[in-house]
Order: sequence, then structure tokens, then C-alpha cells
Amino acid sequence: MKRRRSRFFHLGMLSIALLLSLCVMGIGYAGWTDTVSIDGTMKTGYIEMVLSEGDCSQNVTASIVGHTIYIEIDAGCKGEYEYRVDIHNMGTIPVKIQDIGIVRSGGFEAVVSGVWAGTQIEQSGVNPHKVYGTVAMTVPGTGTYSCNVTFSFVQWNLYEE
Amino acid sequence: MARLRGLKRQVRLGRWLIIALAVVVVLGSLGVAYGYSSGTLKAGNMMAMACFNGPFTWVVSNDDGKVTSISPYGAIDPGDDGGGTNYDKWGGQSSDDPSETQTMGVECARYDKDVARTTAWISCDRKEITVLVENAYPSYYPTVFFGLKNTQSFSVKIKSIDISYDIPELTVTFDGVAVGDVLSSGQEVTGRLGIHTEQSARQNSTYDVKVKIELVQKEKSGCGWWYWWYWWQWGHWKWWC
Repeated sequence: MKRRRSRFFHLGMLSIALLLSLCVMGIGYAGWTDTVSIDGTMKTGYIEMVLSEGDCSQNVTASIVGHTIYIEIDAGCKGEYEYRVDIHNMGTIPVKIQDIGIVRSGGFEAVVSGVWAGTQIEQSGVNPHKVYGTVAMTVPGTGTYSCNVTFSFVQWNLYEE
Repeated sequence: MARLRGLKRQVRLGRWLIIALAVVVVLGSLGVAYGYSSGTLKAGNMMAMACFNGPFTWVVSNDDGKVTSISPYGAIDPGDDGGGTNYDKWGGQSSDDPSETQTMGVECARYDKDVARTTAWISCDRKEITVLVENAYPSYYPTVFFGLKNTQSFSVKIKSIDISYDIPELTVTFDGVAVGDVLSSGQEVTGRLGIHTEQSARQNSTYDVKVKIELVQKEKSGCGWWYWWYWWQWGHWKWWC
């Protein structure tokens, strides 16, 4: 009796072992999967426009805040007065002047020459990364006059005519 | 009488043996069938079981300054000639910047300046492509092309494609490879990744884009008993299927 049970036991164990090993093989095979990837890093450039004071006529004083120049003329007589501004691209992307706005007070004429809407200024290190504009003001006579000149810049490919 | 009992015992034993053998043969044939489809029954291939051995075969950026030809497609990125018409920041390492997503083998519109640059390369195990975009700006449109090949001896299926980028300031297009596509052994498909920098992108910033492609073996029927057992238990397949 004992011998017969032992034989069945061995047979059962053998079958179970075979079953388990085949099942485990099934799991192993089913594990074939893979993941691949594309990793992108994008670093953006920047725009940094700096205005600085250049030469100017006597009796003309100015201050620069951001991209706006505040000019005052203490005119001793009728005539033309000038103020030169240096515009420097310190960034990594070329820019264009989108607009030049002039606000005057005191009844005189003011125009900007040398640069205009659409003027391109290359990035730092590449010419021309610096341009010069001149504000020419013609006053009718003795007196105090003032005007603000504001430059707006845009990256070169977004310039709108 | 004793002889009769012995005979009965032999019959019972024989019945068990037949049942056990039948089960073994059925499961064994399932296992063998699966083994044939994978072709990895050899012990030497066991280490390769967990991966597909580098499916990326090539990668080409359309703004790295050189036109790349890949057999049998020919020139992948015509127009990427290393020039900078009115401005050339990168010299021969980059070209006039693309202003639209490029179609493989066809020239695309480009700006007249070479401001940004895009380079791409494959890791040595050929499972990862790295793309680096430098000095990007709004409306810069680089495109990266790649080859994805089934290097295994069995068919694989694209199970999932997960595209993630951390901000809405980018628009990413990905095509050529789609979920459900089946690649037979040795088959190669070409994919395309396009990145568009939107107006709202911040200056002097870094953005990340990640595309994950999950590949699985196409035939699953050989997963054996556990496959059905898991499905019965949970109603879906686990990682092994």
C-alpha cells in the first residue's frame, strides 16, 4: 500500500513539475516587450536691446529708460538740434525695429534718421549688431521743448510691415 | 485475486500517465509554438529576451548643416546645405532655419538666416534618440527623421506612443509610426518628429520633449495558460502579455 502511494506521488510530482516549468516558460516568453524613446531638449535664444547716448547738440539733454529716450531742448535760438542714440543688440537673435514712436510737446518738428521701421540689427558679435539713429529737432525759436522717442523691437522673422 | 488487483492498479496508473502526458503535450506544444515564433530557444539568445536590440537605425536633423542620404531613400533632408544666406551664426554646422515642417526627401521653406541649430544622435544601444535644439525662437520649425527597424526574428507591434512636452509653448508633430502598426521581421519604417516653437515660448529657457514608443511582440497566443488565467482574473493583460 505504501509502495503504491509513493509511486503515484512521484508521478504526480513529475507531472506538476513539468506543468509548472512549461507555464513559467510561457511567462518568460510573454515578457518580450521594449520601449524606445526620443528625448528632445530645446534651448531658446533671447533678445536684449540696449540704447545708449551718443553725441548731441549743445542745450540738448536726454535720459534713457528702457527703449524710450526722453529729450529736452533748452533752445537759445531758432534752429536744428540733434541727439544721437546707439542701438545695440546684446542678445542671440537678430531683431528688427518694428516701430519708432515720437511724442512732442512745444510745437516743433522731430524726425528720426539713420534707422527706421524694418531696420535689422544682428545679434551680438555679428555685424551690424550696433546701429545709430539721430533724432533731429527743428525748433521755431527760443524756449524749452521736449520729446519722447520710443523704439519697439521684434525678432527678425516676426516683423510686420 | 491478487493478480486482478495488480491489473486494476496498472490500469489506473496508465490512465494517470495518459492524462498527465496529454496535459504536458498540450502545454508543451503551446510553448514550442511560441518558441518557434520567437526564435530564441537557444541558450545564447536568452540575454536578448528583454529587449529588441536597438530598433533605431538612423536619425537625421534637417538643420545640422549637411544633407544626409540613407539607402534606399536617398537624400532625407535636401536644403540642409550648411548655408546662411543673410546671416550665418553656425557656419557649416547648420543651415538657413526651416520655417515649416519638412517632408522627407523634399525641400522645405527656410528663412534667409541661420540663427538656430538642431542636432540629433542615437545612443550606442540604438534605443534612444537625443535631439538638441539650440538658440530657438518663435516660428523655428526643425524636423528630425528616423528609421525604426524590427531587428528581431518575429513580428512586433507598436503598442503605444506617448508624446509629452512640458509646456503649451511648443507644438510637436509625430508621424510615420502609429499605434497598432506591425513591423515584420527586418522591416523598417521611417518616422518624423517636428517641433514648432510657439509665440508664447519664453526667452532664454529650456523645454523638454519626450516621445516613448512601446513595442511588443505581435503574437500573444503563445503566452500559455497564464495568459488566459490573468485575463480571467483581471480582465486585461499584464506586462508579460
